[in-house]
Amino acid sequence: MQLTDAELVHRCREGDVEAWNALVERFSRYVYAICVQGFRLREQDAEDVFQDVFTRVYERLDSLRNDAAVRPWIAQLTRRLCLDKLASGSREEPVEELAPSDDGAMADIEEAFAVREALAELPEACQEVLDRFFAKDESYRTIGAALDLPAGTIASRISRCLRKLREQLEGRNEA
Amino acid sequence: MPETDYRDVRLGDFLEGLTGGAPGPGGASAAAMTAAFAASLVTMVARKSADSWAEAAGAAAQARGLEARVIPLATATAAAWEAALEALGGAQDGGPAERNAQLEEKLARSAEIPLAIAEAAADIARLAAVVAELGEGTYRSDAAAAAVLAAGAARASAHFVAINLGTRRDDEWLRRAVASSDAAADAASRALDAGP
Amino acid sequence: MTRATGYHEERLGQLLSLLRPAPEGWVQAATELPGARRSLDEIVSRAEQDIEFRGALVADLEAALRDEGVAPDPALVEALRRRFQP
Repeated sequence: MQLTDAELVHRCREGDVEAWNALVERFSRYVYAICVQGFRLREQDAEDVFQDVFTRVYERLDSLRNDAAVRPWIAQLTRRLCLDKLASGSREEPVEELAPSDDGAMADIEEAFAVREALAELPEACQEVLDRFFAKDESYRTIGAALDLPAGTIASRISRCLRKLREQLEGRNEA
Repeated sequence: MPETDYRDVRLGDFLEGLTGGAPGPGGASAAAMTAAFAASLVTMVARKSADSWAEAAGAAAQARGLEARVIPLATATAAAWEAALEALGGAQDGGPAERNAQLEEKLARSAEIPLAIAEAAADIARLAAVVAELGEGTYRSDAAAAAVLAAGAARASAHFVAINLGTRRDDEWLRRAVASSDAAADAASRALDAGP
Repeated sequence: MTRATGYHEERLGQLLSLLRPAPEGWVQAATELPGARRSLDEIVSRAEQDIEFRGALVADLEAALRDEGVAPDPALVEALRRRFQP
C-alpha cells in the first residue's frame, strides 16, 4: 500500500531521498499537465516552470502547514509560476488578466488525478495496460510485446480493466 | 493550414486544402483523417452495443482514444513534410555537414509520423474487427466498413514511410509500417467475414 | 448509460489520457535536487571559510567548479551566481 501524501511529506522532511523521488513521481504528471494543458505553455517554458516548481517544493516543504494538503499547494504554486511565465513573455497584459487558457482543462486535471489514485489500487497488470494505452499512446502490438501478451488480446484486457476502474471509483463514492 | 488542428477545420476547407498541394494537407494527412473517421464509426457501433456486449463501453473508450491519437498526426505530418521539402530545396543554414544532418533529421521526421499513423490505423482496424464480430447486429456492417477504411489508411501510411525513407529500405521503421499494414488488412478481412 | 458516479468508460479513458508522463529528463533533474542542494551547500560553506576559494568562484564560477571536480550544472551555477554576485 502506498504512503499517503502526508506520510510522504513527513519522510521528505526527514531527508528520505526515496520519499523525495516518490513525491516527484507522484506529482510530476500533474505539474506537467497544468503547464501544457491548463496553461498551454511552450515546451521550453513548461520545462522551466516544472523545474522551478519542484525546486520550490523542495526548499519550502517545511513551510507547509498541513501535510495532507500538499497537492493543492503544489497546484497553486504551479499555476502562479505558469502565470508568471506568461507575464514575462507578455509586456502589455496585466498578470490578473492572464487567466488559464482553459478552466475546463484545470477541472479535468483535478478529476484525472483522482482517477489515477483509483487506478493505483487496481492490479498491476491493469495499471500497466491502461497507462500504456491512454497515457503513453502505445499500440496494441507494443503493449503486447512489453507485457508478453498477444496483441489480439490487448483490446479486451483494456475494456475489462476500464470496467474494474469504474467499479473501483463507484465503490469509493459509495463509501 | 499545416499548423491547424483539423478538428477545427470545416470539412470543405480540408478537402480544398488537399487539392492545393504543399503547403497544406497531403496524402498522409488524408490517411490520418480516414483513420479518424473509422475510429468514430467504431465508437458509434460500440455505443449502440452497450446493452448486448459487456465490453462495449471499453471498446468505445479505446476508439475515442485512438481517434484523439490520430487527428494531431494529420497536422504534424503536413508540417513535417513541408519542412522536409524546404530542406530538400536547400533552405538550410550552416555548412554542408550541418545541412546534411538537418536534412537527415527532417526526412526521418517525415517518415516517423506516417509510421505512427500506420500503427494507430492498424489498432483501429483491429478494434473495428472485434466490434464487427461482437457488436450489435444492426450496426456490424458499419464496423466492418470502419475496418476497411482503417486498413486503407494503414496501407497508405506505410507507403509514405517507404517513400520518405527513400533508400533505407531495410529500416526498422519500414518493417513496422509493413507489419501494421498487414495486420490491418487481416483485421479488415475478419471484419468483412464477421457478417451481421 | 449514466451511472451514479457520472463515470463512464469513455470519460475514464479521456481522463487517463490527460496525465501523461513528463519528459524523463525533467523528472530525473527534479529527483536530483537533494543531491544538487547538498553540493551547493558544501560549496557555499567552503567559500565562506576559504577566501581564496571564494575569490576563484567570483572570478570564474564555472572554471572554479571544474577545478574542484564539480560539473557546472546550469541550475547550480545560477544558484551560486546569485549567492556570490558582488
